[in-house]
Amino acid sequence: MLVALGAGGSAAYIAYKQGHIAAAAYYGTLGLGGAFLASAAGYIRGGASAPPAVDVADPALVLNGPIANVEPTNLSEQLTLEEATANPGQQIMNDLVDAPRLEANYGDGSWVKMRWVHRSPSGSFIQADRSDPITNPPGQNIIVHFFKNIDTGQTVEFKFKP
Amino acid sequence: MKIACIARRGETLPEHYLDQRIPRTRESDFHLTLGKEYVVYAIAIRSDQVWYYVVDDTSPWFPINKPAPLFKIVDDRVSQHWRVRLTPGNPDHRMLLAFEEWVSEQWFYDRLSDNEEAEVKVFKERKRQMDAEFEQ
Repeated sequence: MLVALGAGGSAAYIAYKQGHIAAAAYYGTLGLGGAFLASAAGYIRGGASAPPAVDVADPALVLNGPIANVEPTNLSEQLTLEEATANPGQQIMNDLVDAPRLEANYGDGSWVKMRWVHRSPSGSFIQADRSDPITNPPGQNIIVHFFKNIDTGQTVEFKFKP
Repeated sequence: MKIACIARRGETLPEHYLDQRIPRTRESDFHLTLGKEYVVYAIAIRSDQVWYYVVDDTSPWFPINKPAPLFKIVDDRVSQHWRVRLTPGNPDHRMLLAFEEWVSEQWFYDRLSDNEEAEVKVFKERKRQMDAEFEQ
């Protein structure tokens, strides 16, 4: 399904990406209302007998838009995320509840859920931040899940899993 | 049912298990330990492929599918908790053998792999039951 966001929708998406959910909902409503008014204007001026068909974006899709990649909070996560984006990973499954949302936001294709595992064996020295001390915690894997369109190779929505 | 790992990479996989789009290749690491025994929590069958769902060495909260040729069967008894469902149209399998909640709820496994609390709780209990079945 193609979703035309329009100006309001674009603002909604930017607000959503920045974490301003209330603003996203507000701009999303403007986008939908604007699309309707623009289409209805001809009907009002021309006195046509039937209102025009309006292709209004599904509000559920507007508010269930793309989900930004997770932001790493330390060096280990940053390096793991770089690994995950640069390596193939392992397929978890094909039959996704998110498939319609992924197709609406990123395009058609076969979307699958993928996993990347960064193995951090015991004995690894980790410095979370430049100002932090170097520590030597027990071995701990860092797991990243993401979606991949196996027809185009596009990968999106990287997130850490506990 | 219990299986033992005989290969941790894809070098022994038959051609029809490989898929360059994933990519699943002869170099793929399946996060298994050679010689280690794993309890099978579900079996998926699609076309001429068989996949075992085991808890591998990396993601302890959910079982993940592994190609059958990476294992040998060491305990051929099937779990009393398994149910069977034919799943035409499902891209992951045409037939699924798994416990009740998994075969009866379409998005159970999707939510389980996302670490959703309710599904993780169900699997934890099912895993305990099946592990107990094959302890001997």
